[in-house]
Amino acid sequence: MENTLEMLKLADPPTWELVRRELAAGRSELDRSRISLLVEHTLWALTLETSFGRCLAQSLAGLLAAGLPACRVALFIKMVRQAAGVGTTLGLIQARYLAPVIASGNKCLLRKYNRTVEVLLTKGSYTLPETLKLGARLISSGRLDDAAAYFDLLIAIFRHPLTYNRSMRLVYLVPRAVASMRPAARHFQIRQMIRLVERDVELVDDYIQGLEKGLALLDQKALALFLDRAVRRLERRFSGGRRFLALEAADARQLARSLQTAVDLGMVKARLDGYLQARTGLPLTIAPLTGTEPGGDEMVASNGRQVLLADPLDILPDFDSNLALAKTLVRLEACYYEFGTFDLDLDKVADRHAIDFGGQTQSTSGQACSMEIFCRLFSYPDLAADLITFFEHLRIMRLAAIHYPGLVKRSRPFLLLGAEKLSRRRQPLHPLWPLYRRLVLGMEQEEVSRDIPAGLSGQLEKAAGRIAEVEDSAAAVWRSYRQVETWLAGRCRLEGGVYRPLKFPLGWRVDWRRAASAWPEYDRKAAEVKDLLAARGIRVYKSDLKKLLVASGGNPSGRQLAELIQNGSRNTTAQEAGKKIVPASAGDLEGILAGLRNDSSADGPNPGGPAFYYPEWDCYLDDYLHDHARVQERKPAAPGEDGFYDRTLMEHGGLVARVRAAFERLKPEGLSRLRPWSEGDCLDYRALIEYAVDRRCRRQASERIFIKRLKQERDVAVLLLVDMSRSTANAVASGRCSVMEVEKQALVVFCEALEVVGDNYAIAGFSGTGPLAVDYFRIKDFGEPLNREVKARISAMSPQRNTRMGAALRHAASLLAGVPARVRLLIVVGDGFPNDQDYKHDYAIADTRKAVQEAAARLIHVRAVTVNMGSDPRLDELYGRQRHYVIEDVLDLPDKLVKVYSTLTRY
Amino acid sequence: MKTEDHRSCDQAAGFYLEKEPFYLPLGREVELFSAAWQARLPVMLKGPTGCGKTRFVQYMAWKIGRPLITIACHEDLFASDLIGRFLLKDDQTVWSDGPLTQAMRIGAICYLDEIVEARKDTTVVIHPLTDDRRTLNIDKKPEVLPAHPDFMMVISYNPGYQSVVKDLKPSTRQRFVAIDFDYPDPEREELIVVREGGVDAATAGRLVSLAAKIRSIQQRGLAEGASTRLLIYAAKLIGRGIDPRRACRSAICLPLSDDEQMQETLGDLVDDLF
Repeated sequence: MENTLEMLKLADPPTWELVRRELAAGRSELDRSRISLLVEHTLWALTLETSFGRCLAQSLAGLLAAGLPACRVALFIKMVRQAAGVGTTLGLIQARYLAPVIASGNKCLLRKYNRTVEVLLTKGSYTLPETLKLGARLISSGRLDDAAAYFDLLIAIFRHPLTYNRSMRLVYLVPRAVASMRPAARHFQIRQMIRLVERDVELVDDYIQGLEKGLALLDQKALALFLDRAVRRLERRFSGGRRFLALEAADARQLARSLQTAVDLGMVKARLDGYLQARTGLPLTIAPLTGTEPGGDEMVASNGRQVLLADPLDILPDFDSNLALAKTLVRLEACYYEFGTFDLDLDKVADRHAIDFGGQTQSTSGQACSMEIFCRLFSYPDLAADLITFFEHLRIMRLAAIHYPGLVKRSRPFLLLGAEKLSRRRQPLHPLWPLYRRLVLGMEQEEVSRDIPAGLSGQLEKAAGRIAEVEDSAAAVWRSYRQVETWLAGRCRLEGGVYRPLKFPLGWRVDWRRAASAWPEYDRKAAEVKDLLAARGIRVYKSDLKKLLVASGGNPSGRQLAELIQNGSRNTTAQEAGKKIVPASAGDLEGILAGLRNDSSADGPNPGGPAFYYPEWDCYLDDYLHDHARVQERKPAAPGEDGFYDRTLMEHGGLVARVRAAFERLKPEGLSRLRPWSEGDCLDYRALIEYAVDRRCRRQASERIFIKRLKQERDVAVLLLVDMSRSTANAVASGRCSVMEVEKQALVVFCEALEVVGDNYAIAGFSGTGPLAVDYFRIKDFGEPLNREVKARISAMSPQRNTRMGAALRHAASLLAGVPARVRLLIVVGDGFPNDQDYKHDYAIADTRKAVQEAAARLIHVRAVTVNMGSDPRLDELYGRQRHYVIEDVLDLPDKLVKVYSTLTRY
Repeated sequence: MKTEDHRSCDQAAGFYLEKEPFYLPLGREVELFSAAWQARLPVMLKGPTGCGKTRFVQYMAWKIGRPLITIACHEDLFASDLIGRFLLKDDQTVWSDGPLTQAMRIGAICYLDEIVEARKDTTVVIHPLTDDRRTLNIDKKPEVLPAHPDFMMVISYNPGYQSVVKDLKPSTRQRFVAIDFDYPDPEREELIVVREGGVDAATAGRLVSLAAKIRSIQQRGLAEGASTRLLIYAAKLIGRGIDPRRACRSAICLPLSDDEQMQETLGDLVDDLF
């Protein structure tokens, strides 16, 4: 086999490498004849064109390695060879996209694929790659029905006579629209599209627009109903029907809204994020549960950083009920954070309940969170997790009844509904379920006695009665686990060593696996610091250290650590026990913490362009490092993508118009009333009285007795400093585009607004690596007209490297200081905290804060707009309290940025 | 001289506070203000809306036994509105003191509320008053009026006002001793709401808890967090039989924001509590 493959290596080493990898990943070992077949056809293809050869080799190796029957492999080769006979481009396309169809073994699908290729070729081979790529992807992910429907759609569209431009548009538009459909809704949404295409191919655009605006949230029946109405409209008046379909008509939006039952996370994320943060005081956000991790029928979960919610949520018959359910799920999940479920500390459990875990918690303590370690202490971790959920729900419900009676009142109907649903299931109920119903949900008692022995029931109830903290829940689990396990084994719940977990109403449970992934780095650091302190005789709880790390963004100060040690209950316990505590100085503690900070060396100087040197504030030295940062002025690297500016204006036409109107209104507010004036619009009564008094006293009377209204010059100069760091390449929550793209769109809207109001403005970006290579991109200078070049520079902005914010701020401030204006404003638009080589955490925050203070000393107002992250108290440290704005949903940036600006500069 | 004092007393009569205003000290502000008054230093109170700045001035005026003249500043407030002007009366021209001049004559505490709202050229007239000269130049009379020994100038200033155009000039700021105010801690705020709003401690506790939550999301689009004053309003409505959720919406949520999304979030927080 190796010898045969060697021929391939000699012919084209990359192809050989590709084949080797495919075969290694395959299911079955290939015999000599199959290897020969592979090599023979690959060599043939390589002689035609290298890329074709490589593609065929990869696909064929994949098919062979998957153990496909010889007849199907032969069919694949035959079809590829036929296509290559027409041209290598077509051969390459077939080699790439036919393979998954053949691999699926579905003859009907193959027929549809062939028909699709045939129809698309009538328009040209340029229509094939983009369209077939999605088909192959759907098949590879096992969605054969969707793929079949998609091929039907392509046939229906491209058999119409289309111009080249129209074809090109549809080639990109249709696959993108189909790919963005929810998997559960994709099939019927495609079928409805086919229905419309058969009427008129022009309707594709309107339907896709309608889907984006809300039709995608309709279920199958509702969508069919909506389209029935749309078709009737189309028959009556075609143009009106198109507007209806695209949800441009008010009555269409109303109908879609009334038919919609599902709650889309995008619709409610911002308000639920706000609720979560207000409720818990933590920078938590909502994220979709679907697609994050496979989670069965659960609707909500937590990973310690985010609350994961089913998206879309379509459980109840109407939209309002689903919305109320979504809110209830978030409310309940927030209880875990507020009441400290995820703050479990096994040392606290051991200390408070005199439990000896026998050193089992030590071995993995550095790598895992306490909840995970605790559950893994037991032979059935899921049973331990069920028990801790049981006790925690009991505790949470008690606390909520005291602090949040409204929450309990509003959650209860949903919990009961969930309980009812579980009780109606065909599967045998978990033996603990009746006890949960009685104790947690407060439901009827008589069922319990049939399912659980009185002794165990009494013991669990007794344990439940003593629970105040999460550690008490853990202790209750520790004490009752053995008995519960024995009882469940007798009830066939532990068959074959597999535990079948308890189903909780609404899927609300403590998910120890997800919680384990929340802050692994802080778990590790907390364990390290705890060990280092323990070596000095200082006992601190790991959970307290972890909380400190989370609150300080991973880098607490020595003072904060000293306070924790001082106030920590663990040392009090140790003191009471007569143990000697070695006092630790702040310097000693700083030494411990210094080991946690990452150090890396700076890069060398970056050549080219005018460069400027600035000092940097070293918070550890408490002094400036003179000429430490080198800022290099640059222009964006590549010529901008043509038309980005105009395209944004088109896409955000509504917003731009609204912003322009708002800024038009801002201008009249700049009207000033001048008085006392010698001529004007009306008399100033105060000046008039003085005039009369002076005349009466025979004094020289001033004739300036009028009020004149004049348009006031807005003497404002603003510099917008945009973060161009690597992180701006991240996709926004919806995944539609990157943070940088949204930042650029915001710049476009901002420019349009500023052009209306007439303020002098400049735009710059910043990035860099190390103190000697801080890049400052001059996108638009003060006084420079908004011409094609500026627009091209905005288009060319792209994510670069790191963020050394202090140096960029100092350079921006020095430029702004030279602009003659009464009010000078510097707005920083970024997506997080400064971060560069040797420039992290406290150091970076202190330097940035210093740069902000230096700017303030030059009478420059610095404000910041932070996007794509939850609000963080450390932003106060960075920019000062009430000097920054957090925009959770980055897609709001274009709108919010101009709002922020108008608020800042209103007269 | 005796006649002058007598006349001052008559003029001041309406400005004395007869009843002790309720004020719960939050720190050492009472001590600081008293020291500033003894040294006749002007005072600037900084803090968010509705945290008790005005109530504090009232309390201090009562405590030190001086009349209090309050001027709400606005953008159309002129120097002559503060100092005074000649008026025509019958066939005569009569000088009428403005509130600032009046306060200087009777030795009152002159409180300029929300000084940033006043025009910058107006605020300049207080400059000679707020340094060691303690005089007011009345150019219309002409007269240089020395301040009464007990005269004191107090201004309030809200750093949360977001417009940088309306910032105080450094030359004005540097004439004052500043006292920083913030919302009271939960325990004290609860006491205040119980005392002023007339509700039980449990309800007051929930209102305070609601305020803390709202303040924690101020950055998400609220100009300012829920003030103690709003909590008292809500408590007063609840005390008069209004459903707590409705009272909170009317007295706290709606005044804070017009944004529909924010209203929903605030409503959800209220729903948790009642």
